[in-house]
Amino acid sequence: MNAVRPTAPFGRRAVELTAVRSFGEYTVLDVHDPEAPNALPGQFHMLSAEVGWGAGEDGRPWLPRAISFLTSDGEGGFGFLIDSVGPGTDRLTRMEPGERLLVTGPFGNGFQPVGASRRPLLLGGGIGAAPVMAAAEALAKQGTGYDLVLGFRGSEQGAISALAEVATVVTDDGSLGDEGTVIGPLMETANDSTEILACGPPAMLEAVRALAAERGLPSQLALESPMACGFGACFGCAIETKRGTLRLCVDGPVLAGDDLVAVTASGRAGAQ
Amino acid sequence: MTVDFCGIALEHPIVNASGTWDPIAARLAFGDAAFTEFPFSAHVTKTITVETRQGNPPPRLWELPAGLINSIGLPNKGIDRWLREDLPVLSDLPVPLIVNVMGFTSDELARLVTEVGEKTPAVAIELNVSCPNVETGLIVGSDPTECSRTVEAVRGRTELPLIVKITPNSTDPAAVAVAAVEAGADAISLINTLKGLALMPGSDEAWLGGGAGGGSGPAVRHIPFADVASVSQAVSVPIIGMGGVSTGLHAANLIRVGSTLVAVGTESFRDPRAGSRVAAELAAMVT
Repeated sequence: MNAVRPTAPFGRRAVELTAVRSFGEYTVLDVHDPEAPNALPGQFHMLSAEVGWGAGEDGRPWLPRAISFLTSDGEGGFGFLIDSVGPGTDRLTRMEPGERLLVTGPFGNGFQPVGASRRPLLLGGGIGAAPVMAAAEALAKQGTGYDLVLGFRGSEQGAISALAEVATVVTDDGSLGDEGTVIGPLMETANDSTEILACGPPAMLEAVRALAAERGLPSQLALESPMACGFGACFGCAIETKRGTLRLCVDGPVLAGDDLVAVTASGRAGAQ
Repeated sequence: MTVDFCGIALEHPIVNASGTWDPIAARLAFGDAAFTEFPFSAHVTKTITVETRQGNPPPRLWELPAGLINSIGLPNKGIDRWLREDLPVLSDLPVPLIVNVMGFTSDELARLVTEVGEKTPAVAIELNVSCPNVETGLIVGSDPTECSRTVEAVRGRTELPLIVKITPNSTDPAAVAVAAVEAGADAISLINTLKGLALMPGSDEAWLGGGAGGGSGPAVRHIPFADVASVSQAVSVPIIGMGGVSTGLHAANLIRVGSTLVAVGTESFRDPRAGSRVAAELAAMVT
């Protein structure tokens, strides 16, 4: 992984949706975005549909949605992992190949290289599997060893783990892999030379942060927040940290666990 | 389509609305193009206060049908750190700087206006008066007498043009504008956001961490048409019109009803170069 943050093309561009793939409840949107620079896993793009955005029930969605990529082929091909949880993600998952997305990004800092002689332990929870699976792919291309643990509510969400080359999969209901959360495999796998890279729901990230702090392990946590812009203009994604109030879009979304007092839901439970 | 605003020559009539564009963050996201291809003919800063402000607790955004309600809470570094840390960077912008300030007392506002006049290359100062006067409890921008006192108190502190930003949350924005101009304002900008409340689903509690918020975007677009029209009939100073502008046609309409400049705000969140696009669409309509 490259530590230098790639900058986004200045402006919004229309890109073609080349494929829509379903994995249980999740959807992968594959786009061809030749203007996009190579992005770091953990960076994100702001996505909206070129048509039918604002035409839904209740006049929403209207703002673009911040979405992490799951796959990147280095030549402008990106796969975005979407879980339909509201009007924006619902419209995105109903798109068909040949339609166009409006895209800005990549934005944010992305995961940084792990410390010398540290082995990355990648933890993904739910839709948070996207950036850590992307990080795993990047590490594999570099020939760097890693461990990958993915946790889901059940097999409907966990189906996406089929795309990971090697992963320990756990589910809340035991319908795929062992029953449990990522914390079990974390406890079994972590040792003194582990560095944790994680993305998932706030409760999972808080458990990971607390465990990493307790064991003195460095951690990089990819957080989530509602955002209007993605490039520091709206100040909507502010989060309290030990370094003061930060904008998750430009100062994150990946923050060192040590910078956080606690991971809390930055929006209300269930989102708007 | 060069335009004169208070004696300042601008390349085109499209500026940014205060608090909707951060050039320093944009350069981090987009690289130097965010400066060299700056989308606006002048940069209006986010509101600067005397003290550092962290802003309101999250959540800060509520998506509307065609717009949003925000409750950001004016986070900023405070004037001292802004002058030291941000101003040197903003001075590299290829366009003139308009500095937006807000004081909670007339002494605070006097200090801000004096320091911006003396220590910055600003070509104008915009007064955010959508705040309560802590001494009287009145919202300055809603009350002609309060607005008049506020502008009078700072008029003598600078020779820079003073722009007073009027709130639409009053019964008579034109009366407030007249009071501001009689007290020495050189220009009026409007509208600020419309007060609104997003409810937590199934509850009477506010969704946003700061309580009530301000609505913006296309959802409010027709309100500035009425407010700019009434203000432009009441005063003869230049007007910066704004509210829901997302195309050149919307900007042209605001100019038709009396705006000299037009600000783009919320649309920039969706399209970072909306300012350039609106300016180009407007130029194509005029020529």
